[in-house]
Parts: sequence; structure tokens; C-alpha cells
Amino acid sequence: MTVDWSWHAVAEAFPLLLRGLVVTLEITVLAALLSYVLGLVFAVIRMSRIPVLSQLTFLFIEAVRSTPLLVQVFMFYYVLQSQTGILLSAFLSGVIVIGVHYACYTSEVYRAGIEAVPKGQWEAATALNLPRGRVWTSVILPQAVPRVLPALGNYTIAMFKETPLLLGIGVLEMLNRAKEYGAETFRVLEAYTLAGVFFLVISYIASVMVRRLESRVGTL
Amino acid sequence: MTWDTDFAISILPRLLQGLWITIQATMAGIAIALALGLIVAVIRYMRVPVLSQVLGFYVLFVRGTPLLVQAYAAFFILPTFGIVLGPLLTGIIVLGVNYSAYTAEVYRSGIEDVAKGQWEAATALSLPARPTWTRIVLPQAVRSIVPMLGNYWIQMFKDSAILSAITVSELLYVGQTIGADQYRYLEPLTIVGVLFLAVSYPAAVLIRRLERRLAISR
Repeated sequence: MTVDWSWHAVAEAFPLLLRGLVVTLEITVLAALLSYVLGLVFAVIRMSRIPVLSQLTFLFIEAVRSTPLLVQVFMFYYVLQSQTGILLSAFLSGVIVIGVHYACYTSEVYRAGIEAVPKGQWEAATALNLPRGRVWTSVILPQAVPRVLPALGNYTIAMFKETPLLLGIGVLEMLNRAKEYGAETFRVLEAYTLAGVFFLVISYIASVMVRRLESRVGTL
Repeated sequence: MTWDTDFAISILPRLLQGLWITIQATMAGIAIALALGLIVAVIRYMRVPVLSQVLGFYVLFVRGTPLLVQAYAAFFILPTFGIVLGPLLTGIIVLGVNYSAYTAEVYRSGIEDVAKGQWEAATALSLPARPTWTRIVLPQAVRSIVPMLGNYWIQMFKDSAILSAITVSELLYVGQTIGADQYRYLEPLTIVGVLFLAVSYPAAVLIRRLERRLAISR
């Protein structure tokens, strides 16, 4: 068995995959930002024990965590559009679905971070008659957020690795570019190997950075 | 477009068949992951020269690349070498190999948690390597990591939906096919979501309970 490896094909596929990589990174960054903000909102709603709303948030989080991301991608893209007539691009749909999906995971991270803040901080804030909003923004969150940064970093890497799922709804991210190139030239070995190497290198560098961050701020 | 119950009932048998394939793929996949992960963990722990480093890179490589990329690579590249396995078998192997890199790390944490005195006692009794592993270390290591392995099992169950991309006729693939044929995605995709939920949520609750039980009795 001889491996038929063509460096010419690698050179040809390289710029194509780079263009896909830009899309992959755009999706990752936007979805990550969405998950950071929405996850925090979910966590605060759940912990504030607002009747009905807190329970609904809990149910939503459990349902999202118990179903596959790919199923959610298809549901959002096909069902929502046919039901409501709202037309979102595949790119934007992907960002929203990945962002909301991971918000259900980051909310648990925030919750752990908030619970790690000593109870005395809450009591002191109450004793000082601080309004509820100020307690969150000035006392609790500034202490909770730094500790959750490494966990958020790990979820960001996970999101980066989930972006290929969006080829199912036609987003031209990196794997889709590799597939396209492989289908046109039949050089599947080079195309997929190159895509794999790109993913590996970026996620490895990112995980080293997260580990460094971890040693600086400590884990939960 | 409103919900059509008659249509939903008419497609249910086909979707249940898809769920059965999903369950089969997950069962076979987790069996591979549990066995292969254990082998990788033990070899890495014993620091076999060269082999340990190769397996270290294996774990890094598998964890660093997306499952879908691995599935595509296996599905499209292997046939160019004359290896034609069919979608389901390819999918099962990809799932098993992918998760073996994660279970290997779980086993490693379990093995490292076994008290050092257990190893020393085994050496003092001049127990050969094999019974030291099978009778002393692994029974203690596995106990504490059962819930973690269980969580990976559930995760694999959900990840098996990815195999629809390589035409494995599992639950999501069946749902998508019905949706594309009938131009109705609401019912098939909703049922797909509900079926995934109906299996993975009770499983997660069970594992949480198991975790609590194993934690108390230690």
C-alpha cells in the first residue's frame, strides 16, 4: 500500500482552507461572546429565584444539554424558518445555535463561580443596604468572573471544534472547504489532513494558553 | 404550518428504527472506547519507551480535532486505500476511537488516584505485574471513575447524531430524510429532539444518583 501524497494539492488547498478558517474563527468568536453574556444572564436568573422564570430557565438549560447540537442546528434552521417565516442566514443561525447551546454550559460555570464567593460577601452587602443590582455588579461578579475564565476558555475551544457541524446547513467553514476541494479534485487525503492539522494546531495552542491562565487565576 | 399529529404518528416507526441504530452505534462505540482507552492509559502509565510517546500524541491528536473531521477523514480517505467498511461500521470505529482518547484520560486519573501504598504492598508481596493491575490497581481505579465514564457514554449518544453526515441511518438522518422528502421538518425534527431527550435525560439522572452513591460509600 503506497500513500499517494501530493504537495501540489496541499499548496492548492491551503488558501481555500484559510478562507474557511476565517469563517470558522468568526463563528467561534461571535458564538463565544454570545455564550459568555447569555450564560451569565441564565446563571443570575436561576440564582435570583424569580418565580416561573427561574424554573423555565432551568428546564430550557436541561433540554438543550440533553439533545445533540446538530439536532438543534437543523431544528433552528429549518423549523424556525418554516414556522415563523424569519429568514436568517446559515452563518447567523449557526452563531446563534452554538452560542445559545454553550450558554447552557457556561451558565453552570458561572453558577459554580458565584457559589464560590463566600457567603459573608452577600451578608456584608445586605448589611450595607446595597441595592440588589449593585450587589451583583460591584461585589459578587467581580469576584466570581476571574475564577471562571479558564473554564470559559475550555468551552471556547470546544465551540471551535463544533463549528464543522454547520456544514450541514451550508456554512462555508473550513471542513466544508476541504470537502469542496476533495470533491473537485479527488485529493481527499490532502484536503482532510490539512483541515485536521489546522484544527489541531489552533486548539493545541489555545489549550496551552488556557492552562497558563489557569495557573495564574487558579481553578474553581 | 401547524403541527400534524397524524403525520407525526405515521413517521414514528421509522424514527424509532433510527433510534435503534443510534443505540446500537453508541453501545458498540462505548465498548471500543472503554477497551481501547484502558489499553492506552495502562501503556502510557507504564512509560513504555516510544509507544507511550506515540500514544501521548494519539490522545492529543484525537482530542485536538473535531469528531466530524475525523468521521469525514475515515469515510472519504479509507476507501482510497481500498478499505471499504460501510457507513455504520466506519461511524462506530470513529466514535470508539474518538472517545478512547477521552476515556484514556479518565482511566489515568483513576489509576493515579490509587494510593501509592497499594503499589508498594504489591511489590513487597512480589506480585507479578499482571495481577497487580487486574486484582489491585484497576478494581480500585475503575470504581471512582464509573460516573465519569457514564457521562462520556451519554455524550457519545448525543454525538452519534454527527454520523448522519456520513449517511449512517441513525435517528437524525432518518428525521432529515423524512423532512426533505415531505417538505415538513417540524414533526420529524421535533420527534428526533424528544427521543434524544427521552434517552439522555433519564440516563443523566441515573448517573448523578450513581455518583452520589459511590461518593458516600468511599
